[in-house]
Amino acid sequence: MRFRCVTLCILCVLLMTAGSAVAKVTVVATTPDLADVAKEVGDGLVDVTALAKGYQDPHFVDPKPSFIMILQGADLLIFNGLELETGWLPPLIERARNGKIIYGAAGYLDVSEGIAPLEVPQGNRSELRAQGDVHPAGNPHYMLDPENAKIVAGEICSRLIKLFPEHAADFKANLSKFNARLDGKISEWKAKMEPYRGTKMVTYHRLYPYFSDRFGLQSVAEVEPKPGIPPSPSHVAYLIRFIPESGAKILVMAPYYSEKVPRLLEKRTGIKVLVLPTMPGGGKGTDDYISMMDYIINNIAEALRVQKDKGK
Amino acid sequence: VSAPTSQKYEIDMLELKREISELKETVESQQQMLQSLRMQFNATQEKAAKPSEASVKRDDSETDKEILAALGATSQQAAAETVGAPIGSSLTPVMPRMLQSLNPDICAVGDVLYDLSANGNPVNRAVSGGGDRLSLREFELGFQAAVDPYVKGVATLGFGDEGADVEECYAKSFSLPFGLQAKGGRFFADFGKLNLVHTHDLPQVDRPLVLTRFFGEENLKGDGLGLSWLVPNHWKQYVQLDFNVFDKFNRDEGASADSAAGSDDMVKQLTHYSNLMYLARASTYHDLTENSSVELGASGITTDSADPSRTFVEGTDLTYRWRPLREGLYNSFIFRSEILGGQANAEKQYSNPWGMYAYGEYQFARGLSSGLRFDYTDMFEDDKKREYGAGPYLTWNLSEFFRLRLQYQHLTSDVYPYEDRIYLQGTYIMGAHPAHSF
Repeated sequence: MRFRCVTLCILCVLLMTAGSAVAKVTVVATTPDLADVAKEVGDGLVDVTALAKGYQDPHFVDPKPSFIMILQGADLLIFNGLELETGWLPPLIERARNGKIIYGAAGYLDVSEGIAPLEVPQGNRSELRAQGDVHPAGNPHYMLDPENAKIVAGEICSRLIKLFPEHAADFKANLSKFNARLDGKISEWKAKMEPYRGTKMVTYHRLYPYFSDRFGLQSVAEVEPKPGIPPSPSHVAYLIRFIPESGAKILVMAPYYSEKVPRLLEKRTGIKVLVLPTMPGGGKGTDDYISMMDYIINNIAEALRVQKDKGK
Repeated sequence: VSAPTSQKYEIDMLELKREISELKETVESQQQMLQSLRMQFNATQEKAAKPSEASVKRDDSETDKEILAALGATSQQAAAETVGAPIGSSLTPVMPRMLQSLNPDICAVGDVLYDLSANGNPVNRAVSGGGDRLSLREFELGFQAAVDPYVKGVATLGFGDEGADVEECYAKSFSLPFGLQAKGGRFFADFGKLNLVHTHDLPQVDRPLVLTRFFGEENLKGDGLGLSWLVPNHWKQYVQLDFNVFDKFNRDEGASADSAAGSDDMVKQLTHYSNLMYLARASTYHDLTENSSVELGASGITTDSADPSRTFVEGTDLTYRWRPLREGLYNSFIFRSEILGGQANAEKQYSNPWGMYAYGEYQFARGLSSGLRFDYTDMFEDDKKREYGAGPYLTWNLSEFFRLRLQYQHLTSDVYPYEDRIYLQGTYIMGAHPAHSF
């Protein structure tokens, strides 16, 4: 009996030391854009896993039990917030039984906390869902504005420092490196978009308010009649009448929506359909955040240039 | 060189203009907020002036003072500054509001059923109690909130024709060490897959025949304790073990001897001899590809009776899912089956009934899916007599919170004449419905 106790104790000690011997910090991000920013900030010191794929609708991810296993071993959970993951993340956190990442723990990081949300719905809360699947705290697609990516990077950095103060200098250095790179890119992207300031566009879902604000575009209509509601025949008929009138040049949509209605609109109104990633991995050669933004900007600028040339 | 510079200035100018307009918006919204706060404040002051409410208000402000004393002077100052009014009166409206915001998440669900079939045999009245009638099957109220840093509270109340019923009310641990999770209170038994699903969330209108024959018309549930363990393993595969011990069951003790429906289900047999019931379940999940997965489970129930004639129920379940990540909004498929068997002693006459259901459901458009379910079960009273059911259904999720369903079912049995049933179901959800677990 005593022998058994001793072996058990030794086993426990071994297990504990084995746990602490792992040098890398395990970070789980809900979406690949946040995962990439975390990779940049924690460069070489963290292992980052994204739950959703870049070509998947982040509103509707299946809370697979395999994700529970990933979350069970996480030191830090980074999520988008503003109710983007509200349909699938809470049951995963609950079932993962990991005290490090439950609400209020140091490993629970809602990066939307530093963001100034757009499109926060006004008026009576109980009437809200009559407007469709509106997010009560505001539009959650803020990562398409690279200035917000900088804010998010800063938040991830300070949380990593809080959790692992021994690597503070590395995290800080990585952050300023990332910010410098992003700053350079932001002025490049702005310059590319500058000739098209004020251009009107149609979007499938309200994914682009932050993006349009940053780069001077104007979204005039959505293919969805209301957020989360699939296009109805009457709404499509309306768009066929409205698009030529509005002067919208491009229709921007995410890869996880059906192209059927946008292609019909393209055929009937001449508007140019662009299927663009909203997260890294959502298109070819968009493995990280910066290359994804490159892809988006280049495609929009190119489409608008062609339209402009046509107009001449 | 100069052209780009002037362009740059122009960009900067535009940027500045944008920033100014943003600032303007912020100031405006803050002014609005101030205005509404002022109005609230005035309204409550008026109320407080009324003599009839004065005594109540005094109590309120007394508690507020206590709370403030506990919070310290700084928050008093802060509160006074934000509202811009004397401390005692101004805080009366603010503090209760803050406490109110600690209310649990509430969701309300209405489940309306139109049973278009003619009156059938008495046994199959499980769903609506009779044919050709439209009725509110159930209204459900759900509450959820963190109780403290250790446990989360969950409660569900069901309201139907028979009155109100506490369906669930339990507390569940957030994070125990070693992958353990504990719960206590009244909860659905961790048996199989569909027993854990609320009636309005079922994939079809009705519960499969085998579950109603074995467990009764509602979920098998009881008052007890549950412990679940996420088994650590080298392959990082999901393996979970669940144990439940139940003391009291959701039956009318008096009615258990002869039920109005005429069928005596397994649970009544289980509770006939003993008060305690034990349940164990093992389940595992495996991703086959990025798009598809399989889930397997086995569950068993028994009583603590020392009598050799104790009752057992065993079940196995299989779920296969396919949902492509990119097209997942529009296409998906699920196949699920459960097989149940039991060894029961009904008045010392042994009966070994078994039964199963299987359904497949294909989603062919956004919000639209159709499926087919097959049912088979032995009649509990006499396991030589059988019952079959089969039928297709069409589900239309107009949004995440509103669903319509049309279902046809053909039922035959060795005892009763065959019958055809047609159901139309409408389900709507208000408020903070908790996310469905997978």
